[in-house]
Amino acid sequence: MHTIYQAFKELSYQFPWIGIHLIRSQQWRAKVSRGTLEQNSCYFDSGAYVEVRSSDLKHVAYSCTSNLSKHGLYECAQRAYQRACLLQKWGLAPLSPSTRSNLKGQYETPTKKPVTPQHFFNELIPFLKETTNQMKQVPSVIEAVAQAFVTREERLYLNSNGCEIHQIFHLVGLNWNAVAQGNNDTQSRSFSGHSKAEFQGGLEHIDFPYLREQTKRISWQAKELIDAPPCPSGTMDILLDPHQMYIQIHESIGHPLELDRILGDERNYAGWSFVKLEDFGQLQYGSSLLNVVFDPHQPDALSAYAFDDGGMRAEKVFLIKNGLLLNPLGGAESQERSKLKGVANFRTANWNRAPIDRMANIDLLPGTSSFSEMLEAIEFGVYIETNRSWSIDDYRRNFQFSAEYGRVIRNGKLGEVVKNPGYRGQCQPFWHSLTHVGDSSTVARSNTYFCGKGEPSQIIRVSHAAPVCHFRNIEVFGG
Amino acid sequence: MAQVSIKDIQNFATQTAHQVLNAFPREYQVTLQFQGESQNYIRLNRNRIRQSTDVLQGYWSALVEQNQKTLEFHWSTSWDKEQDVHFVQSQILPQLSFLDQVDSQSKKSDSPHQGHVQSQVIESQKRPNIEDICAELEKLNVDCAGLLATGFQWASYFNSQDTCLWFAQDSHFFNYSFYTEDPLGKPRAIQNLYFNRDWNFDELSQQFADGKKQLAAYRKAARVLPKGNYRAYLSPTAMREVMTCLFFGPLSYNRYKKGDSFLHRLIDKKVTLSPKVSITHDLSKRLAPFFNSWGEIIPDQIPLIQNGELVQLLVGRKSAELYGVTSNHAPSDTDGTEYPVSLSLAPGKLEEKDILSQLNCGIWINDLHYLNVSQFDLARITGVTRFGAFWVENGQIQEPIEDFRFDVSLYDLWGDHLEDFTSRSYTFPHVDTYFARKFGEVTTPGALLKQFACVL
Repeated sequence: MHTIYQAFKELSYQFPWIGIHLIRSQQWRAKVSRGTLEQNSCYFDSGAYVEVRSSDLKHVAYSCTSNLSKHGLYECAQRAYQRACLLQKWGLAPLSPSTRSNLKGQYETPTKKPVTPQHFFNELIPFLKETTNQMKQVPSVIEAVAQAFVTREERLYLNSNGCEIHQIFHLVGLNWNAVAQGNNDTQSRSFSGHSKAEFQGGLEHIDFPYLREQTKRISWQAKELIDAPPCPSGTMDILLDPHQMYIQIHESIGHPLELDRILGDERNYAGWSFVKLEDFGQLQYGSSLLNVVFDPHQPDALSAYAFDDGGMRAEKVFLIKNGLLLNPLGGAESQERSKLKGVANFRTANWNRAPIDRMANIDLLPGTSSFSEMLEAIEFGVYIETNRSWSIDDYRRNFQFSAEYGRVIRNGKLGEVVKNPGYRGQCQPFWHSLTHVGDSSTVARSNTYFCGKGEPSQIIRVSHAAPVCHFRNIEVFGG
Repeated sequence: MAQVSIKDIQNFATQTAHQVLNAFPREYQVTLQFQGESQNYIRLNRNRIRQSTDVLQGYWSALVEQNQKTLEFHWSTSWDKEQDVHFVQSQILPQLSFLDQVDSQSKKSDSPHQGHVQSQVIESQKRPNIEDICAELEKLNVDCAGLLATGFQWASYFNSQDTCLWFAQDSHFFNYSFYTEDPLGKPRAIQNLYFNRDWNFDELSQQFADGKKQLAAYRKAARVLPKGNYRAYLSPTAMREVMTCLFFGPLSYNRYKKGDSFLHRLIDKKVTLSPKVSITHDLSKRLAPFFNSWGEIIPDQIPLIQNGELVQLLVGRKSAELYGVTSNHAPSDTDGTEYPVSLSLAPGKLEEKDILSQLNCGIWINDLHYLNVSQFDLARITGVTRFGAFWVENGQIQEPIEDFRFDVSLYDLWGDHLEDFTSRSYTFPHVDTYFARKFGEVTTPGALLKQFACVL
């Protein structure tokens, strides 16, 4: 760390404007299958990108290396400077130095007991063995697999504006999957992304008895599914649980609101957006029950942070209020290009990629309906739990999602279990069909490490909290 | 390091690997891999550079074994031999005490090629120049978004029995889209990929010119296709996306045994595909390493599906040990999951000049997007059309079609619904860049289908 400060100081004298972003991490991973440890690995990663501005300070280029010596960083800076100067002729848009912060600050995931390698081996792996051993006892369950990820990640960002941001993140991820076979069918049920198993924090956040119960539940439900009838098909009401809502929020609100996407940066890969710059403050995105925030201050969420990778302070911002589209998901660069206000979401997956606009914690706020009130409002429909498959077009309009587990709703009551529930629709009509939003007792948070975007591509962690929600007249399909 | 060459990397890797292996006490058996890339990534939007990033990244992976217990370690190189060795001594060796807490498994780290030294290096003579590309796009007056990736990738394997396997390739691609507006002001686009080991700017310029002409197809407003089944032609680019589903894991023996192959009905001989379907894991194009992570030489060709029937799955070393089957030395992860890197679908008999007349009335589909398995047990795939779908009548293209969603079982798409494949195949090197550029490619013809379901 000391070398980085020294190198930064020396390079500051040699280049018109410079930023150094050091990212180093250590991660332990384990995979257990039916009580046996199949894979156990440790990752040490350490590197930095250097961002250097052209002589007119209007353009920036990046160079990435794991050679963190002064000489290594100097060579990086030189290469970045040459390419930044090329951008004076061929750059898309000038970007002022004020697109980077001048703040100083620190953040560390609040935890009393960060998970150490000793905890990983002595507590987590035995727990994965015990639970997968129990899971395989359930009749028809042919596979019970669990994974654990424990990460400590440290980020230091220094730039010529005087910015000095140091953040440390403690991440824990546990997930389980049960596969049942029988009745000429294969079905799986997972416990993955749940905030009680994937979170920022330490050992004190892990509720082992609760997780043990969940692993039993998914095993029995996998068995239940192979004997279940297919989900009915047709136009009907659906009630989505928070772990299905998360993909709905992610794909049909999060991605279309990314400002770099709206500006066309993603057109060749992930796609464009049906949302236009002039829609903010104007477009009724969904029903008046729809309230969505960018909220990086949920400390246990996987993508909580205090500053983005341009050093900007992260604050809670309403994206959609009472169904009206208010703000995009765009960091300082996109804000300058679009002349719109945004959020602090200029983020990079690692030291080998330049930051771009990313989601973080994008949460759908609870409403006032209890679970039973929502059920009672449905004459015939399906309750759908846990996303399994997702697909959406390049403008983020036309989507289709499938889930693991469904239950028919008849006359306001939950009925039989059904397998392979799926539904499809168009983004805006879908959000306008939002009829009830569950109260805070129905809220749960889902997390994932695997949101992909960008050219070159990067995978980053995101998090979405949501209540159970009721949608009217949706096209549902089953087996 | 300054701008480095493949030779620089190879020298560094070989010298450092030897010392890293020696840093482990003799009671441990260790195999070592070193892979990475030196790349320049330039991202374009509206014909100009949005972001320019160069990356030099190299990662060591060590599989350490003692008493049939193994631990894996992965770490980023410092690009300094002494520092890398010091890192192993100070950071990795103290972690070996955790080996006691690992389950005993069958022996893994012996290389079947002790003392084997083999190297395959494909170098480039001509590299792209981004200024030429931007100038040409400006001259053409098109709206282009895309990614230029230029540089080399490498993979290697070492063990303490002096085995050294080395693969490196220098290659470049420009994956790009041209955008225009239709008469209703809606954005429409075509996409192209230019890939070469030796950059040929004249070829790229010609592709640009052809691409601009293709945009003329959007001069008519698009029609909305009602839901239903249609005759269809999937271009080789669209077929590449269908083939990509086979990279999700269904051809892995390990995943099949764990109930995680969506092609299990094909594997169990409960269904067959059209006899026109033959798929091979095919390394003959030399776009991927010739060895796997166990240091085994991967056969150039591993037939997987022949004449509509599965003949074998990808079987790696761990599956062979766990399930008592014969390994075909397929690429596999250390948890045993096999994965393809290069797949080839055999061509058919349909001449390209006859596609439109044979399609007669139906949909011409240029590309597909965001495919995913929608129903595991039936191998159903969903996705949407992208970069141009066109309505065809009397063997003539009539007008564009609004993008639509399809949902179809691979057993139908490559079964009763398949009329023929085209007689010419195209090779698409992978352009994935998650973590690093990917090795490998897909080779596929186009496909004429008796029916294709539009569901939304």
